[in-house]
Amino acid sequence: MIKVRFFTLLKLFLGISEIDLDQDQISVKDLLFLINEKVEKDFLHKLIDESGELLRGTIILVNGKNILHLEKLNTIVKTGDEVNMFPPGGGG
Amino acid sequence: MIFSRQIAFWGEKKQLILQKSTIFIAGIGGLGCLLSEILVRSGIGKVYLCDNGIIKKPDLNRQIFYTQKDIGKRKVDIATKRLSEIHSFTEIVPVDVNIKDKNFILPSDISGVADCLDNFESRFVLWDKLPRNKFYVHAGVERFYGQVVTLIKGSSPTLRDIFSNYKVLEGPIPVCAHSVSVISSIAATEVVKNIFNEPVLLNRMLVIDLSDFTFIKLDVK
Repeated sequence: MIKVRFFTLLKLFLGISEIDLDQDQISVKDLLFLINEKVEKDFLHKLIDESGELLRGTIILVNGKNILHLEKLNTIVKTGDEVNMFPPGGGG
Repeated sequence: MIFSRQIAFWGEKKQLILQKSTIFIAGIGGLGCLLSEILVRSGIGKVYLCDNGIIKKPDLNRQIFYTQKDIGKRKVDIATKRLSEIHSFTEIVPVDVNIKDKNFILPSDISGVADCLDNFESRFVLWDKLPRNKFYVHAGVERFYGQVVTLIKGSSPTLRDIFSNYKVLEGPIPVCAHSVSVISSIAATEVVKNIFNEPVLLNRMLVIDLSDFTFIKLDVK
């Protein structure tokens, strides 16, 4: 099981705060597509551009590490891992 | 005695530690106003107030030091005056510079930094200029949400490690007094906890969402 949690604007948009995915291992990109199917809301357009690259604005942490410092959208997530996704507050 | 109500629960020893501490507060906007006031009212020894901004009308919904009559004035001047009037136990040092100015260096006598800035580019520059082993309490706010985390230069992930992929918004950041006051109070508490060497959010980011009062701690690596 892979636990994915959504915070702030993503949570508001999706109407859920987390989802458990019954996967042994999956790339972050495929995981996002899978979530898109399950929630029946097109949240991919908030995260991925037309060329399949990660859009700016959302921090995706896999076990506490930003995927930009791992393998980006190709980062492999395994059962037992935790994925947290949030747009950070930038203001002061 | 001004500090008797807090000495009653955290004790004289910790009050003395506070009195010997110095914090560099970067940004005297929404977060920096209340955070600096809490630190001064706590009896911290010295604060640097760093901001090169001018007070504008849209600041008045959340930046508690400033009123209509201050529009057009320098933030550091009004903030210094306000804090100096509370009591005379804290040394207040205004620093009217842009963090991104290449000649800017952090003072050498600081215990740590409170990041109350309003953009990640300046935050990354501030982080780069922080000496090793100093603490950095980051706070950020937007709409009804925000985050607070403590990082130690040299042993924590860097600010860029965590916040790469931030987005620069076009136009002003939507924000209100409610979220600013909660998040700045939490950040001020975490600064004091760092001074006491008891940080709660070291390498753990507290994500605060006032839309449904969610508070969640996430480990960061």
